[in-house]
Amino acid sequence: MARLNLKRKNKIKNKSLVGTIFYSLIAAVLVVFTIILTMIIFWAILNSFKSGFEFDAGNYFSWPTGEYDPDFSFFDNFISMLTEFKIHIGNQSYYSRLFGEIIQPETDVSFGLMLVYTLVYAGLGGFLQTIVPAVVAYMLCKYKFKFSKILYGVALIVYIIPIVGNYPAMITLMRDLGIYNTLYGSLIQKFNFFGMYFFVFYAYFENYSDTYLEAAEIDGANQLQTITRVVLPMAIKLISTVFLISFVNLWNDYQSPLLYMPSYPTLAYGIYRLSSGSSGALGVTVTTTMKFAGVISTAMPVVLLFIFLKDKLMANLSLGGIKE
Amino acid sequence: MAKAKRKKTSLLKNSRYLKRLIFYILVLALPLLQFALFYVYVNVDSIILAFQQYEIAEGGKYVASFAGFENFKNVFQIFADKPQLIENSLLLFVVEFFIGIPLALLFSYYIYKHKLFAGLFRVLLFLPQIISGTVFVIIIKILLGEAFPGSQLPDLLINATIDVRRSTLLAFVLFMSFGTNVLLFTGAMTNIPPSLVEASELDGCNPIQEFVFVTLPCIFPTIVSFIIMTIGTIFTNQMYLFTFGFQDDKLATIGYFIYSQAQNTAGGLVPSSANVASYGTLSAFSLLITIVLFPVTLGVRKLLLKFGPSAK
Repeated sequence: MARLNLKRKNKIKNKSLVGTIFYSLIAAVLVVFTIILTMIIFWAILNSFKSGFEFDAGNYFSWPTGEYDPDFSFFDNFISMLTEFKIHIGNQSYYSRLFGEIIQPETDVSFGLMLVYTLVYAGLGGFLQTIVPAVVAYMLCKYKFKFSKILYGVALIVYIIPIVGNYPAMITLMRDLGIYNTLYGSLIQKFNFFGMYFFVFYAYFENYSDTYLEAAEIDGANQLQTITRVVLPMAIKLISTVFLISFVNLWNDYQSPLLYMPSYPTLAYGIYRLSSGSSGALGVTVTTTMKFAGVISTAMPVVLLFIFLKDKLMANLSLGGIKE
Repeated sequence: MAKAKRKKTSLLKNSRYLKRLIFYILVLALPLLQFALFYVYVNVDSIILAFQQYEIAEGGKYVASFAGFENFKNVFQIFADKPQLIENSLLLFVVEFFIGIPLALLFSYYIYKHKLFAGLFRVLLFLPQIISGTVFVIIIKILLGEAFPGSQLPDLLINATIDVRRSTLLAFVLFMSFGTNVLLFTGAMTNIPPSLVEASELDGCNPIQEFVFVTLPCIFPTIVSFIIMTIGTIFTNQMYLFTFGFQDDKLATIGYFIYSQAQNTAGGLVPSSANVASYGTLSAFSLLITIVLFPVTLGVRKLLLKFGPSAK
């Protein structure tokens, strides 16, 4: 009996030792990741408060001293970026098969205007990317017409087929419609229902009780009122999460604006131009430390949003995973 | 009387049906029009473009004509001239598949088990998804590439050899990739029935055995979905080359090549027919890859579900 107990104790001891080693190894990799990530961010923040002279003079890793440029104050890089930074957009004229030659002259875009474009692109674009799949999913789920089943099947096929690079055809269409290189053209692109979130909303509405809809109908609500006053408000948690994810994605997206609306640079696009180093086209001589101030100004709004809403953002993304 | 009542009910029913049908059509009309134009038309046109070439006419107009398989010949020429496009794309996939996914699974398991600082790690792993990749690219480029005087850090990006630069980029892709993967996997793990975990503990499983024999089989459908998603991105992943602004052909992936070529010609007045990577060639390029990728994706999914571990 005592021997059996000893054997069992040894087994438990071994098990806990294996567990400790296993978890310690994972923790070690995670700690390395954390150190690299925080050091990168901290280093950028630290240098954003230094003058270009100070950085060029060799103060790369210590606190800002201010001794290299007495006129420089800690927030000068941020002020310069917000007030002086511009990017130059060349002539973007193109030929449309419906409207002939469309001339779009060259222009300079300031940081403030980039912020406005970003808010419109990410805000309205995120809203459309959320509300369109939500409403279409509701319609297909609760209006039991044959066409609903067909459309659901089409959405599924579209989701499965991995289409690679239809950029030329998309640009050609947008040019022909005369909406290429316009902010509203890019928003029309976002007015689509197919994609992962359509299925997330569809799964949600499948579990949505018809009693609410019947009650609304008895109370005299018409179909539009049922959607706007009953269905969407009840799904607000899911809608706000999908909106947040879309908003952050669009805030960070520079490739689509660069391709489809080059004359309307968003902040991410402007920062990309900053990164590609075409300083002659930037309207101001950008020092390395100004670059740091620029990237921090761009990242700050979404990081703050993330800090305040991280539970919501992350919890529901997991939901997407479960639904998969 | 009863007949009249029945008639009235039937009329009401029909009127309700009609109202619902009209509302249904009105609400779906715009999304369907958008779908017809921006998905169906664009993709059909993409196929047509693959068989067309452009000629520039007077007044900046361009005229399309049938090109036969000329664009496809160009594509095969590009593959022959730049074999690294496929090599780099596949290398990126291998790294993501054999290093990225296993690491993400281990991180997720650690977080799922609520080990030390699990909550903090979860947030930090997600942070690169929140902050734009461009932001990290600028910082990394300065830190590792601009080789400022007096810095002890090696130049791993700008003047390093191709192999070193490729390795740095692959490491960067991995570094940026964990957020969503970890969230998806952790989400799936929290759905594992606690009774299964308790039973495995009673049977004397250590954490590694529990991970391999309980956790992985239980979340296998999510892993399959994720692998399918990764396969779908083999030929669209740009390895952040465009963001870094690297134009070295030896580093290029297929995703980078297609985007950068489309971007190069987007600003011009007409799609360039002189360039081998004109719109027609690019569309042929995309069409060929989609044709290859579609059966591969379905095949891998079928194989994984047939031969992979099952929760049962």
